[in-house]
Amino acid sequence: MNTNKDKAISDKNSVPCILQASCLEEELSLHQRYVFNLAYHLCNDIDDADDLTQETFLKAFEHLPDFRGEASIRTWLGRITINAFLSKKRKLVRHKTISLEIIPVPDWSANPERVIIRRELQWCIRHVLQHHLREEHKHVLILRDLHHFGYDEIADTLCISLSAVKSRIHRARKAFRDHLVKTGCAELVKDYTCCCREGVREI
Amino acid sequence: MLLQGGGARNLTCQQVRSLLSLYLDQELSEPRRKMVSSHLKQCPSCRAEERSLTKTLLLIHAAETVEPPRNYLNNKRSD
Repeated sequence: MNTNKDKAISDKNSVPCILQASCLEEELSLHQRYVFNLAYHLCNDIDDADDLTQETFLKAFEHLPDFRGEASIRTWLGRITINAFLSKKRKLVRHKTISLEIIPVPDWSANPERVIIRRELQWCIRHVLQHHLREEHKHVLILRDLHHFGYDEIADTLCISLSAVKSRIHRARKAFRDHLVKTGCAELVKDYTCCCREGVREI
Repeated sequence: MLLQGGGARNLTCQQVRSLLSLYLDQELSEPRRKMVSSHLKQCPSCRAEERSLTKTLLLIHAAETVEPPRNYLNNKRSD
């Protein structure tokens, strides 16, 4: 959900002041929460998100002279975050395979029912995003539906055409829904064991 | 299904379903939005598809956000 603060940040994105070094640190600091959450949704792990966020801001400072303000700073940071994530993932896949066994299953037995339901839901969303969507679908869903990017922003961030964004968003949403409803994964929240036929998509 | 009543301007169910995300995101032109809206009023099957997609969006939107554990800009300017 967009907040007034988000809007203020968005409005400030277009201000030329961002190109001045004196303004940049303040601007970047306003986006820490956004970058961390983007990293968290990509990684599905707090510690990995912490590492990825740190790497993103290090790269942002390193490439500061390259920033011309052609894209918004949010778009620019999003692009850095996703590229860093993909680079890290390519290295990871050489060393390990993600399996169901390593998906953390928290013990919520002592919590009130509503809290349990909410946490089941969160687990379910993260599980499907992380393990059952194509990478390109996962990225557009995170940017559009979790971070409320505009279609133009997504095109800039992912360096794809607007028409590709439009079709990819629709396919991604349908894939998310179809996975939950049609493959049996809607049942996964009951015991945190994914029983869909597709199995876990390796990253 | 091609619903009757609008001549050549009618959309098929397949066309409408392919436009549902854009429709829900309010990314369609006004004439196209009206065409989709008109089709949905007459077609229970596409209306069910729209409701299903809307529920999916509500589900995804419920994803939690988290607070960053630290300030990532400390000491960066002096690196």
